[in-house]
Formats: sequence, structure tokens, C-alpha cells
Amino acid sequence: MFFQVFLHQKEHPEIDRIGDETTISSGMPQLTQREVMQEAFRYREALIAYAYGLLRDWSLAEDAVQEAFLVLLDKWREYKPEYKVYTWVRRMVFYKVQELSRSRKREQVSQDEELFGLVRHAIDRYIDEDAAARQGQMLKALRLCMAKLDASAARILVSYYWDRLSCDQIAAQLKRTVNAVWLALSRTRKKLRQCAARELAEMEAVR
Amino acid sequence: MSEELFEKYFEPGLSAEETAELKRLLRQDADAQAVFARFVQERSLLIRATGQLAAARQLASGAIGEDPASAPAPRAAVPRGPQRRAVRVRRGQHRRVRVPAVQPARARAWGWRLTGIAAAVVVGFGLLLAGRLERVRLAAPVRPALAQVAEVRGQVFVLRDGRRTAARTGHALAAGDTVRTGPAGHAGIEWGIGHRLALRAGSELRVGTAAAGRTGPGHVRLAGGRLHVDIEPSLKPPFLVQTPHARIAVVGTRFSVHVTDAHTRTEMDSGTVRITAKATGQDVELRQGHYAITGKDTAVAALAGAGPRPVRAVRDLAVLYRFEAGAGARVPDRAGVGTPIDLRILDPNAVSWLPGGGLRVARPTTLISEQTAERLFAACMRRGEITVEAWLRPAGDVIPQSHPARIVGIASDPLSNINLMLAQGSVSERERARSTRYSVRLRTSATSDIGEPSLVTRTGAVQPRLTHLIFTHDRMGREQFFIDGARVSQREQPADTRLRWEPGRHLTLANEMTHDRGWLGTLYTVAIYCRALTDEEVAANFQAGVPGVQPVAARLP
Repeated sequence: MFFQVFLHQKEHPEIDRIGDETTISSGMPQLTQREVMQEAFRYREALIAYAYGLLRDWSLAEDAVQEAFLVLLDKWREYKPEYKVYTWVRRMVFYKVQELSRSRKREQVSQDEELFGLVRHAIDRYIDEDAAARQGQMLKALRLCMAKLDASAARILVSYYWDRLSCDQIAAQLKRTVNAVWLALSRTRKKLRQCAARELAEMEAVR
Repeated sequence: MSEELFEKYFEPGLSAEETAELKRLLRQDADAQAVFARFVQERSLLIRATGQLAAARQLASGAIGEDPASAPAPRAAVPRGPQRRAVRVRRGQHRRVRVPAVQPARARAWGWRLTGIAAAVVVGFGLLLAGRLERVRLAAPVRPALAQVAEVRGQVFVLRDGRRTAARTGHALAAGDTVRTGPAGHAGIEWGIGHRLALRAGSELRVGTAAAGRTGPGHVRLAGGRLHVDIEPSLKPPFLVQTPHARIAVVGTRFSVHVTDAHTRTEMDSGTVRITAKATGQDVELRQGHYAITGKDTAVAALAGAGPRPVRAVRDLAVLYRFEAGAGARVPDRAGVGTPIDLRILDPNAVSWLPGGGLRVARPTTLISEQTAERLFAACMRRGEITVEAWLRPAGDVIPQSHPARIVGIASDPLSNINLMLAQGSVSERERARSTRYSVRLRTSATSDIGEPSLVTRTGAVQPRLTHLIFTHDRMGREQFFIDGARVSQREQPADTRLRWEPGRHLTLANEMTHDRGWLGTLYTVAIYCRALTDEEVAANFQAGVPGVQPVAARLP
């Protein structure tokens, strides 16, 4: 763990460790409430993904972020210029995730604290502020790419991710083999990844 | 390989071996950590994007509710057991296994067992069928039908001879039948030609009960709950509504009855009824616009008629829609202030006008202002306050979509710019239960460009009944949400909070400018004031109700 933190600091020399919070030691001016909220909302998709990784339930994850924003609305004055907004709000989301985990008695999360901690660490470490800020763009790119999918691929994708059907259930519905469904899903994901990367590059170029 | 494991992490039933493998990867393998983090982000975005795609497809197909072609198959429908040859080893990897040949002796034994089981099932089913046929034969109607159930929403039951059956449209009702509605139920009953009753949620009505020494076709007994009566003058002898406290004789009229343990309240829409207090025998004639309360223990039937209805607030009213046009594709603004901000119904076939006022939105469409709402913008920005009011009845169905269904909105793009939004549902719409909240977004100096965080009501606040909603925001930063005159949620924003609206936006009802956040239900009144109404004004607007529907009973559509 220490080694990983050290690596992180090497990659970003401006980052200090103050207590348990990652901060940036620059002379940023104090933000207004509006600015804090606006900045926080830039990371909404990334925060939902963060909560989703921990809760494994996307609806709950949305709730956690929504409630964290409500807390932020009250506590925005506690924001310090040396904080990174993303890591600061992510901490609030984490508290909400813990609350929700406890209240919903999601045993699979609470029972294996080690796995919970490892998942949290992986996301904390590899989704930094920049990556988080790109999530909004990524979503736009993904939407553009999804619009180009053929009906069959789109249906499988929606069934799997949105309707939460298993490959078995989708196969039964479409009268195809389970392997065929899984392969179609994998191919569609790959296609989307490539397409989204292209779209993102174009968006960057336009900027 | 690891991607399959990561997929399994998000599904129930991660095995001990898989958990151990996942831990090992996340503990020891930095590459795996990075891949996992990206995987989580990607999966979350895919869920968000597929939700939007699903909503778009739903809208494109024009279907509401479950689409049979794409409805999730029940898990039990997936074949399981030894006959299933494709055995899942790990997600995405299925190997075909040889099913060992069944030994002949064992096969014969199984054959006999199966034959026995099949015979038992056939005999049991036969007996069951015979029993049911007998019951059906015994329960066959021997009494003439007096009325029929014309509309069923939510839980509605008919009790006959001690047996309870779920009511359906066309269900014949005979003397002695009892119709009972659940907490969110509604039953429309047709009585002959032109006579209609609407039994509201949580009510119980007995049909054709003997009353005052007479029996006849036009008698009902309301044991509790709410009933709206719409009787044509032609019915002879008069239609009779009995309650525990009163007897109400009706000669061609429209009125509502609300029965509680303590009293019966009768409210007139039109015509005349004669009420007799059971405790005293005293008669009271009740006319249009009056109401009477008949108590359980009161010696005299209390008449409290002729009082004027509470008057709606009019000061700083900016737009008002009454939905009384009755036809066409325009909803006129009745505020009488400046240039009217009339609305156009984009798909007139998706709506139906109700007689007496009301617009039922049965399929997604958008009611959009014919010009941008500049007058509204200027007035509300100048005042720095706003009230949004709606009398509505949400439909039982909701459109499966990942966003709150818009009731009232002033926005250009729901993803980047929302001045105002009154909606059904909060951000989490994936679970149907969560669409039972109302939410408001208002773009101010304390919220984002899309007005978040929203102010939400508790889960379960949305009920498919006539409902009065008011949201207020004042210059002191106080925001309140009222349902049926009662404050249900509020929050305090900083005192210097100000509206931060963008000009040049259209006002929309029942949807967003992007037409992908449709709301279904019936609109009776929508008003926007450029001022925060006081608590007293909120109560008065609730008491004033909806013309022709006021205060608690909506007439049958």
C-alpha cells in the first residue's frame, strides 16, 4: 500500500498527503458555493461509477451520489482551496456508500471487508481527477456510438445492462445459444470501445 | 479472463474461489487493478447509456409499460436440470457435456414413477376442475345484474356470497355484491344508461341494499371511503345512497360522498339531493355548491352550505392552464397577464380531453409553449421567487426511463440546462418503486446548471389519484414542497440564493424539449406564480380544488 502511494506521488509531485485526504498544495482561491457545486457535478458520472463499484447496484449508487450532493450543499463551506474537489466529494460519496451498505444490509459488501477495501483502493488509485472529468465526454461518445449499433446488438446490450438479464435469459428470448449471445455482447463492447475512442479523439481535436 | 471475473463481481453468487481469485488479482496485480477500475467505469457508463437507449426505443415504438417482445423473461422460464446440455462453466464459456446414457432398468423404473406421477396429477387436476366447476355452477348468478364495473385501476375486488374475486372491466354486479377498492384502487361503475359512479381508493360499496323499507335498482350503501355519483335525471324512483349516518336521495345530479367513522360529508357539483340524518330523521335539501356533514352522534344533521369556496391566489400569477378547451391541440393560458403563453400539443392523438376539464396524457407527447417563455422569465427573475402548482392524477403506468418524468419544465437540454423541472421520480428510475417520488429542480446560485440537487419527496408520495402539488422558492432561499396542502419536504438555501435562469427557453408540460422524458396521467390545472405563495395561499388553492372535480373526487372520465 505504501509503495503504491509512493508511486502515485512520484507521478504527481504536486500531491501531498494530509491526513487521509489527497490534497493539492497550490494557492487556489476559495471557491463559492456555486463553483464548488459546478465543479462537483463535473465528476457526477465518475462518482456514480465509484459508488457502483462498491455497492454493485447502480440504482443505489445513484442514490449515494445524490445524497452526497445534498450533503455538499450544506457543507460546501468546509471546502478548503487546497482540496481537490473530486477527492473531497468522493469521500462524501464513500460515507454515503457505507451508510447505504449498512442500511440495506447488503451482505456481500459488508461481509467481505477485504474485497470492499481492495475494490475501493483500485478505483481510488486508477481513476484520478482527470480520468473522472473525462467520464462525461466518454458518456457522450458512448451515446453517439450506440446510436450506430444495429437493432439486434442494441437489444442484447439493453437486455444485459439495463434489463439486467443474464446471457441465459437473453438466449432464451432470442432463441439463440448462450455462447452466441455472449460473443455478440463481447463483440459489441469491443466495437463500442473502439468507436468511443475515435469519438473522444475527435472531441479533443475540436477543442 | 479477468474481464469475465469482473463481470461476475457485479452479479449475485460470486463463489468463494472467484472471490479469492479476484482478491488475489486486486492485491497483487497492478495491471489488473487498472483494468478493473476502467471496467467499473465502463460498465457504469454502459448502464447509463443503455438506459437512455431503452427509453428512446420505447418512445420510438410508442409502447408504454412492458413491451412483450422485449420484456424480461422470468428466470424460472430458463430451462434447467439434466436436460440442459450446455453447461455454464464460467460466464461466456460453455462446454457441451455428454449426458450419460440412462441404464435400461433405471429408465424403466423412472418410467413407472413418471407414469404414476402423471396419473396423480391428472386425477388431482380433474378433481380440482370438477370442484371448481361445481363452485362455478353454484355461484352462477341467480340475481339480475344491476350494474357493471366499467373501469378498474389498481386493486378492486367484488365480494359475493363470502367469496372475493378480482374485479375486471365488464364485471356484472347484482344486488348484495360489495365492491371494495384497495389503497390505490379505483372502480368506475355504470348503472343503467348514463348513470355513473366512481369509487375511490380505500372504499367499500354495497350494491342494491334494501333501504327504508324498500328495495330497488338504484340503491347503494357506502360503508366507508369516497364515492362520486353522476346520475341522469331520468332515473325513477330516485337513486339512493345510504351511509352509516345518512340517507341521500338523488334526482339527477353530480355529487361526492365521503364517509369516515365519524361522519358523512356530501358535496354537491350540480343538481339537488335530499339528505336525511339517520340520528334525527331531519331532512335537508342540498343544492349546487353546498355541502353537508352528517355526524354519527350528532342529534341534528349539520348543514354547512352556501359558503363560498376558497378563492385561489391570483397575485403574481404568471401562467395558468385549466385544460377546459375540450378539444383541439392548443391549451390556452388563462392567467390573463400580458401576452398569453399558450401551449401546443405535439401529438393530439396521444391525449384525450375530459368533459368538464382535464387532459389525459395516455402516450408520451409534449405540450410546448408556442413561443419562448420570456414573460415568465422576466417576471420571475425580477421577483426572484417562484411557485409551481399542479392538480394532476398520475397514471398507474410509468414509462420505463432513466430520468424523472417531466410534469412541468423550462429547459433547453436536460443534460446541460434546466431552469425549472417538476417531475415524477428522482434520479433513480430503474426500480419502479423509486418513481413514486416527486422531485423539483430549480436552477439557482446554489444549484447546478441542471438544478441539482433536486428537492424530493419521500418514496410513495406518488399515488394514482387526484393530487395537488405546490413547490415554492422564496428570496430567503427557503424551498418547500406541498402535497394536498401539507408540507412534505423543505430545505433552506443560503439567503442570497437567486434564480439563475437562462432566457429563451420554452415552457413544456408532460415532457422535456428532448421528448424523451414523458409523463403520463391527467392534468387538471397547472399554474406558475412569480412569487412564493404563503402557507395560507397554498391551503386556499388546495381547498379551492379543481372546478367540477373539487375537492376530493374526480369524475369518471
